[in-house]
Amino acid sequence: MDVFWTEYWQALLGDLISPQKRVSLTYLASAFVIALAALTLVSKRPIKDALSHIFKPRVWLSATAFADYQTMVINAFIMKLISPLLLGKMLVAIWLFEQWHFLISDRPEANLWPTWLVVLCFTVFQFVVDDFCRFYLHRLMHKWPFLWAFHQVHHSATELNPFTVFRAHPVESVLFSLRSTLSQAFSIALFFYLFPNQVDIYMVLGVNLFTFIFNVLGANLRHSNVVINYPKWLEKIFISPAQHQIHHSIAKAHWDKNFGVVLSCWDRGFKSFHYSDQGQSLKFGLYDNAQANHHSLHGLYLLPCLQFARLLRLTPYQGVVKKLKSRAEKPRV
Amino acid sequence: MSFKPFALVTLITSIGSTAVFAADVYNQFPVTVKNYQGNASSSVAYSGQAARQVIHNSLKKTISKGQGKQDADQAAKLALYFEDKGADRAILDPVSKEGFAIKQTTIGELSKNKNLSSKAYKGAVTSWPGNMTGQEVLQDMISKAAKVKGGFDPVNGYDYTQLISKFTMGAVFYNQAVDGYLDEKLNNSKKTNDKAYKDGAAYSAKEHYWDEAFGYFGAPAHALTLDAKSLYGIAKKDPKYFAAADYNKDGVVDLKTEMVYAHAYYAAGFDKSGKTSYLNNIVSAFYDGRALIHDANGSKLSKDQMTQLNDYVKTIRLNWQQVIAEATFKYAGEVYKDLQKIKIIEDANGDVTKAYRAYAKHWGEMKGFAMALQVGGEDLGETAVKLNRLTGYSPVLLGNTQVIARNAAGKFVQSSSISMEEYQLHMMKVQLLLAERFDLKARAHDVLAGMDELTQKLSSSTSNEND
Repeated sequence: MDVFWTEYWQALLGDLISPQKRVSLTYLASAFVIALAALTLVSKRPIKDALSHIFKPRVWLSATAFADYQTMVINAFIMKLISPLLLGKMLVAIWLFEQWHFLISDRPEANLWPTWLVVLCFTVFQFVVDDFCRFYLHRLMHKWPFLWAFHQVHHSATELNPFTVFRAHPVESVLFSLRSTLSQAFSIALFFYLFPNQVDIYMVLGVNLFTFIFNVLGANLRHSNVVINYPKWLEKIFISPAQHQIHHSIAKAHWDKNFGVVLSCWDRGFKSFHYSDQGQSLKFGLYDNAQANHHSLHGLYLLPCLQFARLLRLTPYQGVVKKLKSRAEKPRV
Repeated sequence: MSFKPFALVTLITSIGSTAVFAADVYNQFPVTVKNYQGNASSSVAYSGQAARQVIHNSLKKTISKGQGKQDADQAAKLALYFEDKGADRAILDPVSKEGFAIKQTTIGELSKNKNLSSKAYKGAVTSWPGNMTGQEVLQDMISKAAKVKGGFDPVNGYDYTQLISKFTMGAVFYNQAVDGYLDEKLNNSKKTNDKAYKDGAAYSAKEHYWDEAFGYFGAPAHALTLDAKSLYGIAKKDPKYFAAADYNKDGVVDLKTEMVYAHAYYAAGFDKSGKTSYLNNIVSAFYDGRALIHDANGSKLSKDQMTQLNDYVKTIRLNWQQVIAEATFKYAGEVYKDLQKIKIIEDANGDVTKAYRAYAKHWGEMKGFAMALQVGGEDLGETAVKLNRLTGYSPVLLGNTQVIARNAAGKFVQSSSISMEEYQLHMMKVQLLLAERFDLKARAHDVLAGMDELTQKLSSSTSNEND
């Protein structure tokens, strides 16, 4: 039991320290620098004004923010409990590796490409596959009422701060784990099959090179009150923090837009792309933000389950989405 | 390293001789048997095991040089190195070569009346068709090997040189050592340490059993003074390592005490990678166990001493088992690669003769070691069942057939089988099975080499983060 708690605290602290985690101090610091620079140099706000905007109490100390912190602590505990039950990445990778023997009959014997090229290709491939899988699961979470029942926990945040990234129902966390297992195992198995004894990954501080770049360039500002837009041509390639803030907006025009994480191409391909607006001022949360109890433990953990149960009874009738949305839009006591 | 008092004695008694001996050399434990009247200065004796190591090497050489049915005497030549006990039998391997002179040329110079067949495992072997004992399996393989050129049966995909050699390492050396000498013989309460093993012997039963087990491992007496690379080089008779082999500096390598054989060779091969220390673990345990018996100074071993001795046995048994499992693992990886090569050549309508030969050779090595693994006296249970099922009774042959049985006439029966692609995956599964069951570390020719490490690198599967 002592080991369990030690590992739990290590995991929790690791979120703040490990460069593998988006909210590690390194990336929070880089996000702060970028935010300060954007507010002072681009928006021409005085430094004091910029600082008070970044550290606005409403963003960091309100009920919605505390709900974020609570989910971070509680979910880490839950995931620690159930992680041994989750599908093993190595197991999936081996199974997929086996399947490749039948799909591509001739496994290359000699090294086809120089090792550095294989490593670079794997680094890019793994990053792109992972980014697509993140996009697609995210899209499904919005499109499938069963998944939305859980994902709305994340969208119930009425203020965004970097810790909102942890605001997720445990069911969603399990899905993230599954997604990550499948996408990484797929990349590993394919490259191991095609390039025996050559596969590795370029990493910085223990994370994929490109993920590191994404994190260090202000990934944390996606969940923040600092609006950073990219030029339109760049937003066509990479999702800006402001574009992700649009994703959290309650304005109807912004619903189901910008599901992507890093690359915009997925949203463009699936017709869910939306540019950010210069000086956009958005309201975050669920529709009209009537569900005040979404910041409570009951709202964060129990309501999604109840909603899911209700949906089970409704299926397989048509119009599930409509009913769900109408229910969600009504204030619930 | 702990101080060994007898080493000092050895050092003192050695002063004035042509060589000065260091500690940690196995064959220098002085006599402790009370009232010993002979001239021996050392109580260590395992010349019979050294003879069997050389007989095994010579048998292997004889099989590989066979001319098949054209040579009517081949069966008799093979019997020389399996059943016969003649002292004048020539040593066919190891023999002297430029830069690597060998002291002995006949088996009798090592030990008289020694053969392999009488020491082969008498228990049932389920990993080979025919419901035979280990001894019968070897006998049957040898009789079949006599009829095919170079010991290779292309119809069934059997490379008898490898099959016989590797299974002999298990059914004779490994079995005799861990299932005999280090097991019931060592723990026989009637065979005490306070009397000579037999009249006039310079050693007690406990000492002798321990030494015999050491001899079967195949390490030179001075193994602890050498690194894995040197030991490997000695086994290969590389002149570069002659000086390392010739410990007493008499200009020749003594096959009794200075050569590396069989299991020790494989252990050194894996240790060379730097990932394991099997040879050192095993030889150190042998050395420390022998020192423990020596320290009893000719008295009965106490209960505590026996417990400690059996702890050394555990180390030897575990590491030895791992060496055999590593060897099986390595050749399963080779078979996987051979099948890949065959597929590529077949797709290009090329000639697969050479690749098929390599496939049969590696399969023979893999299967021989897989069989050896199962004759160490430990019931491997499910692991053995899976291992035998995955490897089968023969490699999958070019027409997707496999040996499934041995008929009443002693001939192998083939039937349609899984495809070569599937069998290739069986080899990967053999590796996974062995790596997990025996906690392997060297993992030579690992089909999934690096996958585990890369998976670890990308470990964020339990992440709670949203997007």
